[in-house]
Amino acid sequence: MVTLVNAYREISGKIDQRSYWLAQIQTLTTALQKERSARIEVEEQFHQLTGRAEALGRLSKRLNGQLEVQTVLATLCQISVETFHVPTAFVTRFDEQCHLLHPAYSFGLGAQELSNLTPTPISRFVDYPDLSEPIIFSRPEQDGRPFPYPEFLPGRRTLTLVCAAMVQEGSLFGIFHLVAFNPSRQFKAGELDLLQAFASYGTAFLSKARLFEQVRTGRNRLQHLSQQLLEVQEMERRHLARELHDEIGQTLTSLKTILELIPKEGGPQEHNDQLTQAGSLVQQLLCQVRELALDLRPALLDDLGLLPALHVQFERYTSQTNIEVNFAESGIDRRFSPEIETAAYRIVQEGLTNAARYAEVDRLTVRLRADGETFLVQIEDAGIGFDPQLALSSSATNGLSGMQERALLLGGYLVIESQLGKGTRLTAELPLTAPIERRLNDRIDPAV
Amino acid sequence: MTVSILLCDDHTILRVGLRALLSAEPDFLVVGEACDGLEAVELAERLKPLVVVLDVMMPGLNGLEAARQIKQRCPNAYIVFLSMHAREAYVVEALKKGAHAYVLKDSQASDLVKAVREVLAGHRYLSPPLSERSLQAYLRKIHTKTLDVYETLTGREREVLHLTAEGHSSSEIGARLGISPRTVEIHRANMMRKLGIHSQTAVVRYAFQRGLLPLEI
Repeated sequence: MVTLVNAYREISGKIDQRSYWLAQIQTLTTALQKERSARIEVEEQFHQLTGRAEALGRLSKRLNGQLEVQTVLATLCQISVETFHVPTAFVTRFDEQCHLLHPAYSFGLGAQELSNLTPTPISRFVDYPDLSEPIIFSRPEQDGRPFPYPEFLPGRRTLTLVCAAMVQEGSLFGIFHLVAFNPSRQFKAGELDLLQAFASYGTAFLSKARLFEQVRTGRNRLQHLSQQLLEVQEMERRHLARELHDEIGQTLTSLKTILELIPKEGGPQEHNDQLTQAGSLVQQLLCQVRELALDLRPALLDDLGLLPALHVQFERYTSQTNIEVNFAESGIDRRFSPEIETAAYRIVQEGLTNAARYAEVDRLTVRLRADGETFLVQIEDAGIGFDPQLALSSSATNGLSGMQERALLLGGYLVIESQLGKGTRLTAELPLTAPIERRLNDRIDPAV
Repeated sequence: MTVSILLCDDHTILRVGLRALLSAEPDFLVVGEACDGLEAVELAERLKPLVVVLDVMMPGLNGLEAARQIKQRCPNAYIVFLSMHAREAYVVEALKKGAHAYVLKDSQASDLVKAVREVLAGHRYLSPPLSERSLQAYLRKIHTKTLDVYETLTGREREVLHLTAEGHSSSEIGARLGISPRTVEIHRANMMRKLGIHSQTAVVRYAFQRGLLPLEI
């Protein structure tokens, strides 16, 4: 009996144990299932976030370095169409003055369809000005939200339009739209977040591009003005030089002839001396006027071209400064455009003047070379040299920046190579056809 | 024999004076007058004068260019230039265009007649103070050396040339010179454009020929 009781006890104890373990297993399974679903959720979130990060990364990689408003818009629309798997994306630009949205760019829409989109009052976006989250409009209309572009693709009976505001520093640039034709296409919260992020990214790049465009326009205008200024200056000088040489020069020549024609015999000696003196004064004046005309702008440069004008320049230079000019050229015995001839002439002139003032040399070398593509000007001396950075920043009196300006305005460059004690070499290259590629920060190179 | 002359100058008063001066010579006949370069070329072709007296500077087509065209169309015509420019540079250009005489406007009036007669006799004529000697002196002075293209390279371009010829890559050269590889490539492109060479092999060949590279490596 005792054995039976013992056996029963043993068995029931085991049964208890089993149900205990069963319950334990049950609990564990439930916990595991919970954990599993939580993990799936996290994984999903992770995927979503990764996808979002990847999409944003793709967008910013493609937008990076784009500096034109139109290409930024194009990239934004294209990447959105790929990312959100929709047929079309487009942007309307906000006009603050008349509160209208103008079609600006579209991807997946024909130009015709985009231009059919008439300017739309911003008031149709009911939530304006609080457009912090994307709004969904659909056709046929739901939630009593009137479709904001009634004339948009009138043939389409079902249409979903997701709009995200493009806001930069509190001001509205425009509205970015995704369009879906499939009525079953639903936009989830995560997608809407991503869309808003796309719109913000795009806007940031757009404002950069807009700034750049403003700067570029300003710079172009400035360059144009500088070029015009130089041209006007040359025109004035040409005019003055001609006036001096031709008109005043002719008059002085006539005066000289008249003085020479006055009979010197018979009159008092005193008068004769005065006449001779007047004659030599007129002669002196004539020389001064001619020199002045040459200084301003030699008629030779316009009449005969660069090479003869340079020969005269070198001749005068040597006689005035005692610096010998060693001249080598190739291909420049022909006519070039007036801009090239003037720039080359002035760069050489400026280079010679600088050498005479600062280099302390008795000879220097000028090299000119033209081929089909470029016109090269080089002035080199073995004088005392200078620090190019210092010379460029110190003052405008040395003319270096003016020379650079001339070369740059014509799409060329001027390299200043100089070192204390090691001489100076100025090399300018002016394009005869297409602009020359050269790094801006590399214009100044200390000689090594 | 009558010497037919075409007179071209844009100053009417001067033309009247010159016509009077030339017509005073019994054997000279002024057959036409032109007041700009284009008209000069037209009339020369139509009238076939023996002598064309031409102002160097005229509006429209200048005298130098007109002379060139006249020489093309009437190779036998003698060209006598009238000029207010006493610089040899003008004279040289005028002679290059086929002129036979160069007469300064502020020389004596008889100088033009003298010039025409000299030219007809087969001589070149230059108004004093111009002379064959001053011309020769000028030509000697403007004689230029031929250009060595290597010398037109900037210091950087020379360095890039040397290092490229030695076989270094853009990044190596950039590291050596402390500039970016992209900048090295721009220097190399400019250097090759200036030298007129188009390949890496050509750079090496050029460097050898110039003696920039030692013969054994």
